[in-house]
Amino acid sequence: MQRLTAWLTFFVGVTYFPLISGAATAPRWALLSIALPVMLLAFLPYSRDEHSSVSDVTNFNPFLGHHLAGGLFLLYATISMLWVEVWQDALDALWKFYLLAMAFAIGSRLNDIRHIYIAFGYAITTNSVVMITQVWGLWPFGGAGLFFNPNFAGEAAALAIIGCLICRRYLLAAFCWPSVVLSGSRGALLALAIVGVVWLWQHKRQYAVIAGSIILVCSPLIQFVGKGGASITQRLDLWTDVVQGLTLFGHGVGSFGVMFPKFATHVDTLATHFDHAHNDALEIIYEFGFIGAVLVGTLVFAAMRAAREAECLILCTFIVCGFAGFSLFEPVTAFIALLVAGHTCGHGASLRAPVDASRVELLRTRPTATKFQNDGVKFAARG
Amino acid sequence: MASSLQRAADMFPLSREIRLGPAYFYGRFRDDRITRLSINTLEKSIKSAPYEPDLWFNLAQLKQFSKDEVGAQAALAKARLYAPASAFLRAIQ
Repeated sequence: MQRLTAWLTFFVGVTYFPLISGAATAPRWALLSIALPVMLLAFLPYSRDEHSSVSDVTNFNPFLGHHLAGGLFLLYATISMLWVEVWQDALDALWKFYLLAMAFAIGSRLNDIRHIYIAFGYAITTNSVVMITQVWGLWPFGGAGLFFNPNFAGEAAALAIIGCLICRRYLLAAFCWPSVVLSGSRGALLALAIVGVVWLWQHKRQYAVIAGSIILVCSPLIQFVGKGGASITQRLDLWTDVVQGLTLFGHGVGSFGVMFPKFATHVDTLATHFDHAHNDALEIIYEFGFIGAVLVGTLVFAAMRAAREAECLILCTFIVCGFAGFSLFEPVTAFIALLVAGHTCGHGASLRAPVDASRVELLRTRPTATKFQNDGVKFAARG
Repeated sequence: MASSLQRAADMFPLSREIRLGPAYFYGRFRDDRITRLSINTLEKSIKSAPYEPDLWFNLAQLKQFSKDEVGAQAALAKARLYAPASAFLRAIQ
């Protein structure tokens, strides 16, 4: 299962069909739409944890905390289909949330997630090579590697760098750097800086204070990176308009792109169409209201609380990237983050764990069970 | 080309870009022979993107081209309603 998930991570990281609508996102969602349900249905129920003990399995309760919050959120998202105005966009967004839930479930079954980080590092290294060739003019399509939008490339690369550093694959992390630098993504740079401070805080607090102060002092310079200050002003206008459209129950799943012009007064919606709020938290509140936000917040809180230091850094990177981007709605970053979140919450235990535990207990209490199994195998072989 | 876009829109209704492809295609043309078809396509597409000011603006243009002044003004009013910050829409009559 781990190897299969690692291969899927690599292919999700590099899949790109130029010259089609959504060249970087549509093929990746399509790949996830095929691979995740197959993995979940065909392999997950039968995979066994080689390293988890029986006590791990028996202590697992799927009806508490994160699984409950995630399940309720999916239920609420499905119910919100009742009040959306355009069902096509809603169904599309709902399916993507289900895909992310599947990624979470698969992540919760993985004992070791380092293979995923390394596979993702190789995918971003491939992207770095493509971006460098684009700078040299050897690649005909765009300038964001295999991600179409430079911000997507930068954010994905930030996650990959942290993952590679966690695995102590420093060379691989260095190969991921060009994707961040050439993308000019300020969100990715900010995420890396903040995660660096968080890491320092966990080890050398005085250095963390110094580094945090330097970042705070240098933060006004960020307007000179990438697209400049104009896009910052545009984001502020966008968020002001998003806040104007917030409701208690939300506008429904996948409604942001449809409903946004109805409430926008600052942004020129004739000139620009916004599919996303460029802030994951705001978009969640916009679509699912405060009820959905509480459920997602509970899930994030549970994942962060359960996370070890390494996974905490990955999740921090994802959250910071989502502050000025929409990493939750991008296939690569969302898939990686949900795998990691599932891993932190599950630590290898599956939703079938109570069933598995009862079977293990049954085999223990019945010493002849093995004999019956062997007889069954012989009988099947004869048949 | 229009029929290909329409076929794609019918095949992939969940993708916004593909679904609205025919509407944006017809919205670009001012031709007597296809004005009625263009207006019908835009009106159909607007049902799945009811607050899209550029679709309303294109519809207003097409209605004006087909001498439907009342319809054109109504569509333009909708475009202005959903794009109040647009200096372009404020400037035109």
